[in-house]
Amino acid sequence: MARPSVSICTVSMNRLHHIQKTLPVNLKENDSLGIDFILLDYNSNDGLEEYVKTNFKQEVKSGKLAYYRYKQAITFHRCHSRNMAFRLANGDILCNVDADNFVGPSFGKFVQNIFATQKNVCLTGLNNECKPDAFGKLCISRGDFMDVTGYDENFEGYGFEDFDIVNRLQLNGCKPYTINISDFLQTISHERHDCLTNEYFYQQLHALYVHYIDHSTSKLLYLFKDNKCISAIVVNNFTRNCDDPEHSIPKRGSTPYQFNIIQGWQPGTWVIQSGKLYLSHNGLKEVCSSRILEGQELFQDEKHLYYPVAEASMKLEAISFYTETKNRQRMVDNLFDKKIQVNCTFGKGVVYKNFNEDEPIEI
Amino acid sequence: MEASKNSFVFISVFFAQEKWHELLPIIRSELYDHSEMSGQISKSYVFFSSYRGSSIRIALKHEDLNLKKALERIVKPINAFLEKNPSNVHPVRLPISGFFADFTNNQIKYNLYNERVIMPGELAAFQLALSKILLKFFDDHPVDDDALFTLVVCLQEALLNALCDPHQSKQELISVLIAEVKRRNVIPQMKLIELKYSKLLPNTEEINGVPAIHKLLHWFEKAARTLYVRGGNKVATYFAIVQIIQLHLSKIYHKIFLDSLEYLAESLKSEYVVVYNEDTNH
Repeated sequence: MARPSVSICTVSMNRLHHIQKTLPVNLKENDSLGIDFILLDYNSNDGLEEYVKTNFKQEVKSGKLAYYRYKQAITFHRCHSRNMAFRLANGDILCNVDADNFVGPSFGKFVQNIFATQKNVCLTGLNNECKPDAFGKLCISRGDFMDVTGYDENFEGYGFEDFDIVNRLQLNGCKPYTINISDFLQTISHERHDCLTNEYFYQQLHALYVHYIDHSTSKLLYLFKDNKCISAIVVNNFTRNCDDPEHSIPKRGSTPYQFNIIQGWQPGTWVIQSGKLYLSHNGLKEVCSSRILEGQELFQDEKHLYYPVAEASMKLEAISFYTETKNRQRMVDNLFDKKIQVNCTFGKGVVYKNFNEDEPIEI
Repeated sequence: MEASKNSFVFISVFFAQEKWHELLPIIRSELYDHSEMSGQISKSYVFFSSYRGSSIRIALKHEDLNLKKALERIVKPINAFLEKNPSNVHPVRLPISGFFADFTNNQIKYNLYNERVIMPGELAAFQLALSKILLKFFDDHPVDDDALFTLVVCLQEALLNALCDPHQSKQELISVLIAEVKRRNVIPQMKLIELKYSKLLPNTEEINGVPAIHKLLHWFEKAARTLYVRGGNKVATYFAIVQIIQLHLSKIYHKIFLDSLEYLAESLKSEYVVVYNEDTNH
């Protein structure tokens, strides 16, 4: 069988600092025939366009690198952006490589060999033994990508989209092959902050509060800028039995989830008037009075004492917790329903190729 | 969940840090002064922790199927102490630092951590020595910043003695280590796998019970020396052992290791040698 062509696709929204480190290396280490690179700029404002224009003239001219810009993006959408990049690619095999990932020397050839010799296979970084940061690496045939309608665009924010697409590929008869070669799994170590600050929920977050119920149960309350809110009672499964010496923390891998949500996420609305926080959840109303303690504004009623979360890292953790639990449920539902196709349309939008503003390309 | 044969139970005794030195002798007594314990608990390790409250952690490796019986003997006197000498219960500190409330003082909880705090293979022998060092070092002195600094200085000095050889003076070695600690900015997570089969560490019978601190530090130095001779890399050995020390001393950031190295460098310049004084204890 002839060697298939491979498109290595990367999306970036304000990740220039990562692209500067990874893209030059990735291009250099995969300079062989039949391998090209797609960089989708998801409306970055950090100078990514200028950087590519200045530093990769030759690669763009030769077609080795195609640069696309999607100007409509306001916040980062992981699944939509990846679908868009895949749809823009011309290769027989489509590879997602995150902005902070190194592709690895001759990775393209490795992919070509696998797909030339094996049928119905996909390559994934999931559950690799070397680097959890490389979980997002995925290589699939164009046909399989279209069959499963790409990444599920109903997923919002961070988490589980990689697991979900691999599940659906499996349902469609594709055998996942875990990449366990360390050279192909190198990443830039960085704070999670970089991945999340451009996402919708983080940008919309107005304030976050915690009401402690007991040492293993808390209520989280997220107030968003549009006066909507969500709340949930969260249980820490690892500590809830800590009075019993014979009940130990589950070993890694033996149970997937440390936290459980009781009664699901509760949507509602909020408003602050005359120093009082008015919350409305499913017709139930809470009125909490404001109190200043050690310079922090707390809200309380007879049942709750809401402490504000001030630390940015905790806010990011809470946002990723919210999106991960939502996405996890969606993934479980997709699997339970044996859903292979999840999007009616996917990767849609208008992009501009190689700095040419005159020719919009509609996907 | 049934306790399996030869496994760990992880105890957290929540108690105000300013009074840990009053609790530590009770723990020491229960772990080492009762010979009848030896049949049930084969090994024990002690850690300081600030995770979700201030606690002294005790990891017990038990070989007895009757875990409850074995535990009762150790926990009962500690519980009695907590009841008789309760420490202050702190209100929620703002800004909050976690999504779950801290555990309140004067109570015992189980299995809030797991085997990951125990080093693989014989490296755990360092932890045995470190646990005894903590029990001895702080038996009559509060566990405050000054005392922790002094302890780290003592441990680092033992480490430096272990890593020194005729090719490199202690001064030169300290300079190299300071540069490494600064360069790395954090104490790196070393790959300890290759060290776990170190079969040549000094026999821990030399430090049976809880001997004098100088004996414990001497064992620690010999063990570090063995590890270095086996691995042949001073910097790697240094960071591997520092990583183990960090497991036992809560909130000990790399700055304290840097500060104590600089302190030792200054001490050498002025030819002042830090000696642990058994009589005055620090």
